[in-house]
Amino acid sequence: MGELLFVRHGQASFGVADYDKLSPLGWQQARWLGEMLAPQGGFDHVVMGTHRRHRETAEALLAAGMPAPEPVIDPGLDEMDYDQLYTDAEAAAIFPHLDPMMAESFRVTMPLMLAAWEAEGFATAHERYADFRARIVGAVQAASQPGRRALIVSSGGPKAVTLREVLGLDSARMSSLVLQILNSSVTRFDVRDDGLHLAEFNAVPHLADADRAHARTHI
Amino acid sequence: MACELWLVRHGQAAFGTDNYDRLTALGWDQARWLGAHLAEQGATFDAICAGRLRRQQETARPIAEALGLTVETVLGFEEYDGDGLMQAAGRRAHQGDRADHFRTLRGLLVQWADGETPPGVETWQAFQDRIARAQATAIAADTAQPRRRVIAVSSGGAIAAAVAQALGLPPDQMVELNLQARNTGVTRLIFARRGVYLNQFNAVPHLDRPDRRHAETYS
Repeated sequence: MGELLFVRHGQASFGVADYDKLSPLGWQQARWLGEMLAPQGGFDHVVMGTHRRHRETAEALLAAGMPAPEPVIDPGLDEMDYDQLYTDAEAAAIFPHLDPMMAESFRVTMPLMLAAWEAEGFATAHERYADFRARIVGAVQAASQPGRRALIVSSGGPKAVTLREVLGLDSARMSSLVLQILNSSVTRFDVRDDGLHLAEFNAVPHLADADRAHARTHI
Repeated sequence: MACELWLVRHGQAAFGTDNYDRLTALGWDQARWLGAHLAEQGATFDAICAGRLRRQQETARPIAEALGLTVETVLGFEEYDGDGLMQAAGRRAHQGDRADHFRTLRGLLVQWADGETPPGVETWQAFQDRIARAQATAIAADTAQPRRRVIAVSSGGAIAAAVAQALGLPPDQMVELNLQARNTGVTRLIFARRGVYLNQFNAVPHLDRPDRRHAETYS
């Protein structure tokens, strides 16, 4: 049997010019995760997407010093471009009228957007869902081998797609998982000859202490 | 208002003895460690419930003590009748080689889900229904004062059924998750107005320490 740890990046810089870098808290989350994982042993393989937040998360995590090879970069693990998809979906008027004061309206719009993207229900220059899915499945497959302990550092979308493939979820359930995935959270799979088996989802043992409650972030 | 239901699988039970339905010394440790962990975390719970099984009640007790609560018994959180399924196939449950036991059980569960109900065993659908009802009871969904955060101590199959209902999973996937369940693993479901969301599956933050690695058990 092998094992695959799928880690979401630490908190990025939402609301800042360059979202794609870790915030100070994001660095901290990744360092804490590394300290927690280090005693569990090393990795035979480490792979991440091309985003800066992936690279920085891997760097902070591996600074804990567990044995691990140099991370491999695989663009198959890159996140979708939410801003572009949202803009194009909105331009196509796929969303119902929402009260602008409604808190967390993304909980309504995100599932609609992802379902419509998959059904090619609006025009966009963004890559197709089918291609997004295929590159993630390919990257995860390449990383997972029985007998090997692998680490993936990527984003919420690729993680949710992987869960969807493993569990056979529909689009709505995949969206519901995207919305739950915490920064620097760990999802574990057992890797057997017949593929991946979910062992743990969205665990944040490194953020469990009361004085780290502020670090359990989604964005 | 949303309610978090923390589903906890019982601690290690006495596999291979005359009576499986009681905790081993390690099972008690797992339960105490989880209780201490939750108390340190500072999270407040409205209630802690458990099914009627001895291994569920025994697991709930130290957790309740650590949190200053009293265990409420909620009928319906009991495990499916694994003994009945095994006996109908001429086997004794929770005896002999573990791998062989779980391989046999996997096959029997899939047949049971398929509608092959041995005499005296509840139907698959009846099992699903009572798990749904037990959850509603635990969170006091239909009362004037719904709860915000509740622990329910249950079993691997019952928790897998709850997850499968939340994610719309087919029976073979439920069986898969059932067999991945770790002793005192914590699974979190969020009951919100728009639906039920899986927030965490099978996490063991209280065992994520080098000196407790031996306590990460499946049976």
